[in-house]
Formats: sequence, structure tokens, C-alpha cells
Amino acid sequence: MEPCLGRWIMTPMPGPALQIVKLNKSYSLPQGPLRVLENVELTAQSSEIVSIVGVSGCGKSTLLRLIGGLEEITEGTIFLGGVPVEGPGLERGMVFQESRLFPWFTVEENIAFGCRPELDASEKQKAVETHLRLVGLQGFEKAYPYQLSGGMQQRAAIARALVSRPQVLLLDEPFGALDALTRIQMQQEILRIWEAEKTTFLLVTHDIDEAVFLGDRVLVMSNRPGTFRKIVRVDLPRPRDRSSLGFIKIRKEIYDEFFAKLS
Amino acid sequence: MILGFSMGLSQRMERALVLLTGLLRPIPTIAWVPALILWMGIGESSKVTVIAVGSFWPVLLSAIQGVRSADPKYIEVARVLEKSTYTMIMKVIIPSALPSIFTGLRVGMGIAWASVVGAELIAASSGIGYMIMYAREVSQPDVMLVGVAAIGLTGLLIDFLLLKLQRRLLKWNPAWAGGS
Repeated sequence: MEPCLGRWIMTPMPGPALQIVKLNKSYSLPQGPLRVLENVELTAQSSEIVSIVGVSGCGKSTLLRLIGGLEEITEGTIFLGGVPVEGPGLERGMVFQESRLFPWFTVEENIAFGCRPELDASEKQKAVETHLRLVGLQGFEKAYPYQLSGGMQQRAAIARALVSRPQVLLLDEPFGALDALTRIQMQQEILRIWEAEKTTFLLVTHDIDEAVFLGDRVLVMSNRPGTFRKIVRVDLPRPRDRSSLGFIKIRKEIYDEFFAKLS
Repeated sequence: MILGFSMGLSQRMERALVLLTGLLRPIPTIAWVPALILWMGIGESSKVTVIAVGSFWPVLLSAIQGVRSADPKYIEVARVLEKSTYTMIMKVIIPSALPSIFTGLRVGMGIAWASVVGAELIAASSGIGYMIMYAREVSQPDVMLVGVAAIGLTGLLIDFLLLKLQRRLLKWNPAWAGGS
């Protein structure tokens, strides 16, 4: 890492990077409160990848939005490096299902938009270059989002989320809108990026394969109110072989959580 | 345009002004012309005011519409990136309102140009409208037709210039950068 970036790199904190304690979330509807999340507990170590799988509407996206500070917590606390979160912040990067790149900015300007405000112009330039290279988009600095493929747009969005060097990267079904082949390619890319950055990744997905391929742990979320029903530790060395016995066994274990009643 | 932005951004602002704008909007620009001539004479200042009045409504409504249609997904991204309200408005809301504003500008320009010529027909000492009226009085249909053609050509030229500006400002938007 360039020495000039040193002053805004967070020193690794002792203890968990992210800790969620007794989190409840409900929306008040005319017919009474709708409980979305109930008693969610989660501890993520620094530079861990935690996958969260669940059916659509189980509240997994809401959980990420709560951690991101985009929604109000009903009850409970989310600690980030020991500090309770309040509102959005640059120490939590967020990647959505759609790239959400600003169409009026070039790739370069989009990534620069994610920079910490205290950086001066040359530091900003350097950070943008570093992250363009990190996601493999060099040569596309001046391109507008509409000129990029879906996978490349998502790479740019990841760079924008990482350029402020967050402690946690929240990925909300980031590859859900991509085709199957691009998705697998992006999963390998995200691992490479993680190995370079060693940020804590929190990945929400409905793709069991993806969850097992990437996660150190896979948390299975139950439906309405959402809570963690099962935690599966994935003790397989990376890069993981999707057709290995260990991989298939873990995949089946999670699969059975969803479809046991049918078979 | 600024009024449009503030009405689009703030519900309260819109509620306060909706009655006033609702009352003023249906008045055709031409209806203002006699009053404006009485106050400002038949010179340039009354024409400029006619342009302002004629282009005001389409620009206002399109600015409100543009700001309203700013995608909340982009606003969320700006929130995650801890952007100030000022940055949010300048870098997110206004750019996303720009396509709609340009539509309003082009409609407004058309109306403004039509109203100026209309004002000249009523009373003026120069201009294409004045030329047409003068030709009527001296029975020169050829001059009248040249006047009508000139109005059309000038309107086309104004629209062309606006389109060029739009292409430059909206080059990020494939649907607008090339299109008409």
C-alpha cells in the first residue's frame, strides 16, 4: 500500500469487526406492527466473509440496510469496531443488486465520489487509480456507465464502495442481476479483491452455491420474522472446488434447510 | 428554474405556491401583452418580459418534475457515502433532473418565440411580426409569407442550438445524447 495513504487506513481493531446484539426491526402498518427481524445476533471477525442466505422477503436485505444505517433500528444495537452505529457512514461500504453508478459520472468520477472528503486532489487521484486497478477496470476510466457491461458496472460499484477503505463491506445480492457465467467470474473476482483488502465482507444472497463458495460461515435466515435458524461453518480451503465432496456436503446441508419438507 | 427546484424539493414550498401557480398558469402569454405594452412601451423590455412569462411555466413544471423523478436509489448511495445536502443537490438531484429540464426548456423556447412574434403583431416598431403587419397594410402578400417562413426558420434554429447544448450536457445518457 502506498505510504501516502497511511493516514486514513484504520488500524485493525481488536475484537469483532461487527457485532449485532438482540436486533429487532418492525414496520408499523395500519393492521398492526409487522415484525421483519427478531432477535438477530451476529458477530463477524475482521476480514471474515459471512454469507447470509434466505428466501426473498425474509428480511436479509433489511438487515444489511440497518447495518448500513439506511433504516431505523427498532430495538437492539449494531456495534462496529465497538461503537454503536447511527445513520450511514463511510466506514461501511455498500454494494447493491443494481450497480447504482451515477449515469452522469464517468467510472473515474463515480469512484472518486466515494472518496473520503479529507483527501486532497492527488491522494484522491491515487486512491481512484489503486481501486480501478484492484477491480480490473484500468482503461475504462473515462467510460460512462451505459458503455459498460453489467459485470463491469458491478466492479465499478465495488471500487466505489471500497475506495473509502471501509471496515465492513455490505453486499446486497451483488451478482443477482448478472448472467450465470459472469456471476461465477465475479465470485472469483470478489475473492481476489477480498484477499487484497482483507475487509470484513457481509454477503446477502439467495444463491446457496455462491454463499458456500465465498463464505467462512453461512447463516441461514428463517422467514418473517427473520432470524438466524442455522449457522454453517465452511472449513474448506480457498479457492474452493464447487464439485468437491466437502463443498457438495455443505451445500446439501443448507439446501435441506430450505427444502427438507419436500424431499 | 430555482423556484422549480425548491418546489420539487420541498413539499411545504409546493403547497404554499400551488394555488398561485394554479391561478396564473392557464393565462395565455398573449393576454399579458397589452398590459406589458402599457407598462413598458413597445420596446425591447416588454419583449424580454414576454419571453420570460412565456417560458416560465414549462420550465417551472419540468424542473419540479425532474427533481421529483430523481431516483431514490441514487439518493441512498449518496447517503451511504455521507454526502452533504448541498453535494446531494448539485451532484445527484440536478443532474438527474436535467433531461426533464431540457424538455421544458425546448417547449418553453417554442412558446416564448411564438409569444414574441404575437406581441409584435399587436404593437411594435420593429421585428418580424411588425414586418408582417406592415406588409398587410400595404398589401404585400410575398413579404407576409417571407415573414411567416422566417418565423419558422428562426424557431428551428433556436431549437437546434438548444439540442446541441443538450447533447453536450447529456452525453452520459444514450437516450438523449443523440436523439431529438
